[in-house]
Amino acid sequence: MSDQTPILNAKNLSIFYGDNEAVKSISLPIFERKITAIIGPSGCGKSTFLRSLNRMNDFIDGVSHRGEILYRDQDLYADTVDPVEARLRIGMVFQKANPFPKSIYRNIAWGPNINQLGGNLDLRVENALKQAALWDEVADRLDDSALNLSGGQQQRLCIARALAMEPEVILMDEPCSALDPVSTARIEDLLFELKENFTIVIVTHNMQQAARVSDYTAFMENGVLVEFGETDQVFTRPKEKRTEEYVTGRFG
Amino acid sequence: MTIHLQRDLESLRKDVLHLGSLVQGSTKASIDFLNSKKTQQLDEVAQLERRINELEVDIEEHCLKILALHQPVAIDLRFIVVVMKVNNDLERMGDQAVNIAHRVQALIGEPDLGLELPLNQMTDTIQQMVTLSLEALVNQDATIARRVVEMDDEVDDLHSENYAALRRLVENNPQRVGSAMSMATVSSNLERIGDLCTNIAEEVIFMVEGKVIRHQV
Amino acid sequence: MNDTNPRTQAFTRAQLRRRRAQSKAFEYFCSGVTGLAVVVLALLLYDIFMDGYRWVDAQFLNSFPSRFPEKAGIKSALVGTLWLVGFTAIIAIPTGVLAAIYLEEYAPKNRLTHFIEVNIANLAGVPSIVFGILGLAIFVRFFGLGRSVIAGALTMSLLILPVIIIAAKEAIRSVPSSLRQAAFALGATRWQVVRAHVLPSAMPGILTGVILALSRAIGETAPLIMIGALTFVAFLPSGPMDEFTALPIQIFNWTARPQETFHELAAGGIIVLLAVLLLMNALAVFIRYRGSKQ
Repeated sequence: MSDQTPILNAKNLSIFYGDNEAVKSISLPIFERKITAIIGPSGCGKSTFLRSLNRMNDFIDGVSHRGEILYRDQDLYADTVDPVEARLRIGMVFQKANPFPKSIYRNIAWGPNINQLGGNLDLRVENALKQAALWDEVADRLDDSALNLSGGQQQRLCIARALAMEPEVILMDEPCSALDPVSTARIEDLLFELKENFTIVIVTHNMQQAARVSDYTAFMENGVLVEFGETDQVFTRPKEKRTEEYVTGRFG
Repeated sequence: MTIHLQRDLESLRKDVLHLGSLVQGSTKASIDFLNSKKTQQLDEVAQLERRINELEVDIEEHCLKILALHQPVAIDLRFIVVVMKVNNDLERMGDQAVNIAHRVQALIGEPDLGLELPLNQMTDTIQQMVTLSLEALVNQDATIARRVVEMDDEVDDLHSENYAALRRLVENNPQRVGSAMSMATVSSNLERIGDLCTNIAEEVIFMVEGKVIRHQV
Repeated sequence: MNDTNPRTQAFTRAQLRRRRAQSKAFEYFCSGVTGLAVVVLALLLYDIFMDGYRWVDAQFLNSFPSRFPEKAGIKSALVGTLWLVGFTAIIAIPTGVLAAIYLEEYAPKNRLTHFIEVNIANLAGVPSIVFGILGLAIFVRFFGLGRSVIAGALTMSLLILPVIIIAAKEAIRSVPSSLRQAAFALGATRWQVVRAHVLPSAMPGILTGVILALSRAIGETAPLIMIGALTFVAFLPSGPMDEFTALPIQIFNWTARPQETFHELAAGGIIVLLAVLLLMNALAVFIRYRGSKQ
């Protein structure tokens, strides 16, 4: 296990929807410039946990939490922290691609624009598209509507949109679940390259995907963190029986 | 998905057990041949060897298929890896049985050595070791596997006794060296079968506990 | 389909035939009712058109009302209506849209908000004459605005505000939350999200609501009578504080006269009113088209 300080660190984190404890006292480190996968059956709380990492749960009524999430050793939910600013550092890609109904260029340029990130905007858009392995396909039609792209391209556009903000962490909530295998493979290849510059946390119900791409894997069940470790250990010699039963497909 | 994998794994287990019983049959036939010197036992050994080789190839193909189609992980993955090694070990046991049969052929026509060597006892022990090690594999039982490892000490001791007795014989009757060497080789073959069973047991322990205990004393 | 049992085969076929017949019958019923509505509308338009088309010409549009039908025109009424609708739009549209944005995006989902929303829905059904009385009491008398364009515009704004708010709220609510989530995840404030994504997406729905509301405003007569829009006006308003008349008032005035020719003049006025409505709708369609091309 890495002995560097984790860039994000959940400590005894519990998340409640009203009275319902959806995430139960989880302590989980996210290491910098590594890919951490969170796996588990539907409804185990992994998406809820992911959304808490960039304060997207703030928009849901009745959500409260106990414990803390530290971002570079600072409490993410402290009163002095502006959630808008937190989201500049921690970006998100969603399960279903949700490009704005605008041109490809405007999709990527909007975030940097409103946050006045500065620099050459055209260059920023180009770099983001290149990092998302989409530039070659759209370089000559940046003014076309983003909705004209295929599903896989739209998702890569959403990744580029997040990358253009130059975040430190990118959260991905089942980014490939709506895509065909070829598009999925392209995005997985992409993750490998992005790892050099970004920390990635990916929630997936596809265990093979977690096994293929991630450095660390966390297995959650019923809101509880059952096991966390290096991915090859979790998939060849899991420490917990529940983990073994889940990864070998023996329960469900 | 998991139903198909379970089915394939079950069929693989059956095949491995079948291979084990073929090996045991071949070993028994070769020792019977030693005791009776009857040629039909030799034919039996030859037939069994053919079937052993065929089944070994089938099992390996089956393992590759499971790896490709199911991409197993954790215990299932370790099981497949161990089965492939055990497959090799069993085939080599079959080779040892054939070696014994060849040694016996060389002994036919030679006068009896007059030594009471505990080869039958050795054979019983190693046959038991084959049964137990495959039981340990199929039931994922490390306790049984450890017992097999202990039993190998017995076999090793018996082999040392045989070797010493044969040495004494040759020192006193140098002209019997040919037959003595053949018998020594037979004992060595049996001891080798015991070692191969120990291999299987150690691999089972790796599978169950995730620990590699090979190359440990 | 591969059911080889002859008894069930026959049963299925008969059932299928009956269901198809039922479906066809319903289809005919629906198109019949629609056709009836279209026919009624066509008859109305035809009747109006036949009565009034002779009178609609440049002179009609450019003259003030007069005791002599040949010289009468609707210039003051038309211009008055345009002034009235213009000011109503300026007052009601921003107020309504902003209120809808507040209720949908910012207001906490508590009982007070619910109470407000229920009341707005109820106001949409209040008869327009009540708003006329309200306008008379508050704008004309209490604020001392007199029988002016601005008093009329404020009254009409109150009338159509609930309609605009409800339509805008629906349009805003129908913007998929995934769009908002994507924008928030990029570090945007709520206002940035609303302005750049929610409003543009909701604009077609909002515009439809606005046009519906303004169309209603154009045709309302009762509130204008209550606040005292004049009936014989031979001048044009030059500012919001001036007195005025409007098309519905003028039309009403003409139909109240016994002479047949004035009835035909009224039909002409109706044609003009309908033309204004059509133009407004066309403008809305044009704006939506331009908006969706982005």
